Formats: sequence, C-alpha cells, structure tokens
Amino acid sequence: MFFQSEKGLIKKAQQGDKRAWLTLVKQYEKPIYHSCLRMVSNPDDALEVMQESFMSIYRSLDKYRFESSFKTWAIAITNRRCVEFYRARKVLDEEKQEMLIAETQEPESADFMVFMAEQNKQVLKLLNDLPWVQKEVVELKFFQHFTFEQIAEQLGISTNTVKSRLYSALSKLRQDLEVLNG
Amino acid sequence: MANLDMIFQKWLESGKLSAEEKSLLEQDSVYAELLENSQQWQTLASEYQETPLPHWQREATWFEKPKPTPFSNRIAVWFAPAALACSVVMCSLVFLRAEINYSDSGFAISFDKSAEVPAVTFEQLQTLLAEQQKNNAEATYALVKEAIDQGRLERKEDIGALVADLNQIRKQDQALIRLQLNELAQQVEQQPQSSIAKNQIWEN
Repeated sequence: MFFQSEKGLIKKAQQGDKRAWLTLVKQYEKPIYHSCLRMVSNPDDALEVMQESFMSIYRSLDKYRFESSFKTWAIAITNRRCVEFYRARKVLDEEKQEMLIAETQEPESADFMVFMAEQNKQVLKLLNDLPWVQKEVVELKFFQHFTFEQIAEQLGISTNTVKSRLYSALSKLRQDLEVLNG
Repeated sequence: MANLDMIFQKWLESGKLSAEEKSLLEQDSVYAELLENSQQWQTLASEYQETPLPHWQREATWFEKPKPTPFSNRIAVWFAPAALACSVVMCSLVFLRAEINYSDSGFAISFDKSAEVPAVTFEQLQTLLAEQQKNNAEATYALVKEAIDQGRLERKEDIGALVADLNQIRKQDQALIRLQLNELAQQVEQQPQSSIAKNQIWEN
C-alpha cells in the first residue's frame, strides 16, 4: 500500500516508527513553520521553534487520543513553544534585545528574501507591531480558524478575555495600515 | 449594544451574516470599523502564502523514546522490601521459638522463653538470610540495569541535540562567510584595474 491514512501514520509513529514520523513531519512542517514565523517574525528563530515544537509533539505523541484533529493538537503545542520562546527572549539583556528587535523589524538576510513571498511581509509587519497577547489571538483566530472557546482553552483564559484581546488588535489595525501604506 | 456584539461574534465564528445583520453593524461606527478590520485580517490571512521551508534537519526531531518500566522490574522494586520484612518476621518467630496453636475459636501464637535455642535454629536462620541476600542482589541488579539503560538513552538524546546545535552553528557561519565574500567581491569589482594590479586598497 503506497498511501497511508493519517491515523495509520500517527499510530505507527506512536509505536516508534521513524519513517511514519518523518512522513507526518513532512505533511505538517509548512503550516507549523509559518505559524512560528508569524509569531516570532524571524525565519531563523521560526525554524528553531518549529524544530522544538516537532520534538515536543513527538514526545507527547503517546498522549494524542484522536479527540481533535492532529493539526489542531500540533498547533496547540507549537503555540506553547512560541510562548516559551517569547518568555526566554524577554529575559535577554537590553543590548541583545535591541539587536533582536532590529533584526525582526528589518529582516534583510539572504535566506529571508529567498523564502519570503512579497505579500507575507505585510502580514509579518502588522503582526510584529501587535503586543504578544493580541498577536497570538489573531494568529489562532484568522490563520488557524479556531473558535473563541478553543482559543480560550488553549491559552487558559476566558472567552471574554479572548474577545477583548481580539477587539483591541482589530482596533489597532487601521492605524497600522495607514502607517504601512504611508 | 449587546445585540451588535452577538452579531459581530457570530460573524467572527461563522463568517456568515444576513443582509439585515450586516446593515445593523455598518450603522454603528465602532462595529463598522471592527467588521472592516476583521475582514481585512481575513483577506490578509487568505492571501498569505505558505512558501517552501529552508533546509532543516527533520531527522533531529526523532529520538528513541524511553520504554516503560517492565512489569517484572516494578514487582522487583516492591518485592525486595516485602521479602525483607517477611524474613525478619520469620527469623523472629524461629528465634523466639514461637508456637502457633489452632483451635475452633481461632489461633494463638505463644513464645517459649524458657527453652534454649537449639543449634539447628541457627542453620535455618543462615539459610533464610542467604535466600534473602540472594533476592536482594537480584532486585538490586534489576534496578542498576534499568538505571544504566536510562542513562545511556539520555546520553544519546543529549548527543543528538548537540549535533543539531552544531549543524545550526555551522549553517550560520557559512551564511556569514557567504555574505562577507559577496561584500569583498563587490569591493574588488568597484576598484580600478590599476589598484588591483598594484595590490593596493583603493578608497573613493
């Protein structure tokens, strides 16, 4: 049999089948990488967070009970790794932090230019200008299409807090677009 | 306001609104702006392109997972102290010459303190102790083996992580060297031929 169902692949990976796991990674690396990229705004950091996320997903794979889609479950883990990355970055000293902000605001590395589509730059810029708590709600709502309840469950907050963060992010968009379009 | 909030929430959750609901939102300046901005985000999200990934080490995400502790080992962990306790009780009973008497109402244990302990009792004691030592040694062996296996596995994972880190550093170094070489090439291209021939640094 050439093609295996996702469920079959997951079950094999749960039993420690390396090939099945790598097939799953190939299937989900794009959405997970881009989710990380939108959250951390830097391609090199996104790659690092994605790798850590996949390691966490593999470590927790035995706990996956097919109650939600694999993508939803994997994105929830990825989001937690992004939060950890954000917290780790926050404790960097001021000098380093300034350097990182400069990197994320004007990403000009060769790799970035090669792998980044033109229309994505605007999205990254707008997301990067949002505070972290608003950014993660926008990511989960508009890019991952989760409901308010799912977002609240993932972030461990109430649905009202999710809504208030989303509304704040939406209110900020007009000013940002005006700045971006000059 | 409450109705408008519910209508807007409905739109955010389902993306669908009746014409009447939409016009209600558009009549309110706050919700009209929120609706417009969320439509803008939806457009941005739908136009976002998931471009191909840079090269990365997929294999580094796979590692040998520690196997669950076998049932026999779990028994061994409990068996050693239990066996020791039983041995102590048995030795005490033998040493104190305990007598167990059964009757219709139950059983009673009595200790003969007057009699001296015969030599054969010490032999029994020695046998029991030897058995106990053997059991303890077996349980200890199982525990040590488990600890060594676990340590080996953790070392393997650590080495995997180290190799991934080294590869990452090497990639970054290569990217830096590439950029420096490009910069140098540009500088050389901008120099007049005479400066290159004389091996001089030209400054414009």
